[in-house]
Amino acid sequence: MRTMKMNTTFSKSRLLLVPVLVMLFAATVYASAPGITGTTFNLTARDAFISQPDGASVYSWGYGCSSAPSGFNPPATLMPGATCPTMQVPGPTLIVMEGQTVTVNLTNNLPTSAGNTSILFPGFNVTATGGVVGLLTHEALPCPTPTACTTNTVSYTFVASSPGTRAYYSGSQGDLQVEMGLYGAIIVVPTAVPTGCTAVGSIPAHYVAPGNSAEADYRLAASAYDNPRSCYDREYLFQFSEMDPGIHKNALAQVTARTGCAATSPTCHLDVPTEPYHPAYFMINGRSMPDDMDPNYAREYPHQPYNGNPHMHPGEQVLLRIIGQGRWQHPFHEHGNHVRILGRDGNLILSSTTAGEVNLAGPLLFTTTTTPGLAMDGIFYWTGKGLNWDPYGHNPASSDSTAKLPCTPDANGYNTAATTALNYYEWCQDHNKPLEAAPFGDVAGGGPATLPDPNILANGAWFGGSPYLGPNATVRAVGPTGTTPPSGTIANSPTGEAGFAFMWHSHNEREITTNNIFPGGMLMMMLVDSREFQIDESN
Amino acid sequence: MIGYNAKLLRDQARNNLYYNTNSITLAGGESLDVILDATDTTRYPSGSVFYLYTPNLDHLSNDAENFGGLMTEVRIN
Repeated sequence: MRTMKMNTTFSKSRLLLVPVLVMLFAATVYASAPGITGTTFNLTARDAFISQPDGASVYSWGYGCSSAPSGFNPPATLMPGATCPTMQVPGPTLIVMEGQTVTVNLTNNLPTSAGNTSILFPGFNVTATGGVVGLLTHEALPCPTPTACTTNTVSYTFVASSPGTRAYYSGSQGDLQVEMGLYGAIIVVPTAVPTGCTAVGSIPAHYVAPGNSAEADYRLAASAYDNPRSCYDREYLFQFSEMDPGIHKNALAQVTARTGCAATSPTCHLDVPTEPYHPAYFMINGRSMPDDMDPNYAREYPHQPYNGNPHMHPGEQVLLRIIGQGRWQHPFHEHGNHVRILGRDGNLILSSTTAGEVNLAGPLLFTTTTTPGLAMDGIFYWTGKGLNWDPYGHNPASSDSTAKLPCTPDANGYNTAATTALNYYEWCQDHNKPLEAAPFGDVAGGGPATLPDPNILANGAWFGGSPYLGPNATVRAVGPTGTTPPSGTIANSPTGEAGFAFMWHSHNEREITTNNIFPGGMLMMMLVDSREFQIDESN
Repeated sequence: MIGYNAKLLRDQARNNLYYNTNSITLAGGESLDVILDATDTTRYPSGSVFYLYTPNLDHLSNDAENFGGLMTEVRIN
């Protein structure tokens, strides 16, 4: 009886969940590390409401653009719809070139009662002018009547001395202002292309299936640092933060009660307790799952323009730029492989064994724990190595030519000689070792596992019924008549994308909820796509 | 920094991967091994004192009392 009751409950929840998933995962969208470019950035700090997937609109403060930026990267030709609103969480990602002198002009347009605000750029030697001298830097005063204000703008100037990813955030009343959303990222890209790295715009063509075109290059640079061992093929920026809605409600109530107060009035200030701290929203790039898998610059999130939705092909070196922006540490776990840390806060970590040593010394991390204010750059890649079966389902007896590709191991055991091969970077030791001993398709036996019959198994949002990568992956798993039974996948089409889905998430399980409802929070799905599938990061 | 979670920072080709740093970050359950090198007696003379502390300023207090929390001293004897 008890078992039956539990089953009934499960079925009901699944019935409810299915239409929701259809709605949420209908569009296939990708990320990259979008931001604004130039040498002078005119920013403002404002209030607005940001959206959470439980339907909440949370009163927040954020940085934004007070005038149009010089440019966007990726440029509008690659990423149409790029905007920089007057308030966004996280703040605009500032993309600058190594060695440039950067000026950030910040205008305080927060409510008068919120008081002074500012920006810190840890890791740079900043000259601050204007405004008033605060505890940590110059601060911009609030301004109830903008036309009469002279002290509500402050300027920060610094030389972008070395490449890498760094955080920026408010240096005024940080316990409240950072919690309210005043933080962002600055990426310094190297000016030169290190030997052996591929310049932006000239990324080599991979296997292109008929009907697909070669991929555009969405990288900001050829390498993360001025070091030939930091080349990369693709990149993503993830900023982790959390919010305690109680603090935000209290701030809104006090701001509302003090509307129109004169800055000089002794009662024109906020007294919002920031302890005890009970966050309920756990966000990547200002969005909670599943919102983080919607497009960059999506219209439904006018104040949360950046997404978190990584894709890659096997063997690609993927640069992860990871920043802790909140108050808590978050154990960010990347399924599929470890992450080799390159550097921290813009400092490339090199072994100091001998003078002139260029060996990378960053640790290989199972979980890249984010720490408040700390940024790290790391390289992630996926190959089938270690699976002990052939993820492409190669089969010499197949009638499908793409199932009979050769695998010639290089010194490291990977198939890398033919860079446009469909199975580039295959781990050759497992070549021609199918997954199943008794398959439904045309793959011969010998594999270590027996999968459930995909004609019976209901598919989820991410599993297409085939365990294999590549064109005709469904045929290899299901049989020559193969279509994906019964309804196909929603987010990872077996006929087109045919990818492997890996959950990238906080390992603190409460943080993969939105206001205590699972799933949500700090969670996204990384897809390893077959190489004939064109990864389009334009949205 | 020479070790992380009881593993020597050395790769499979026996390259030493230790590195110099002025701060270390620890998550719950993690351990690190570091060597403080005070052999340079000009920079680190006998009797000198250095602070060892967290740069998270709100962790440098004992509840409402300032000057506490995650801070201690390294004394060169």
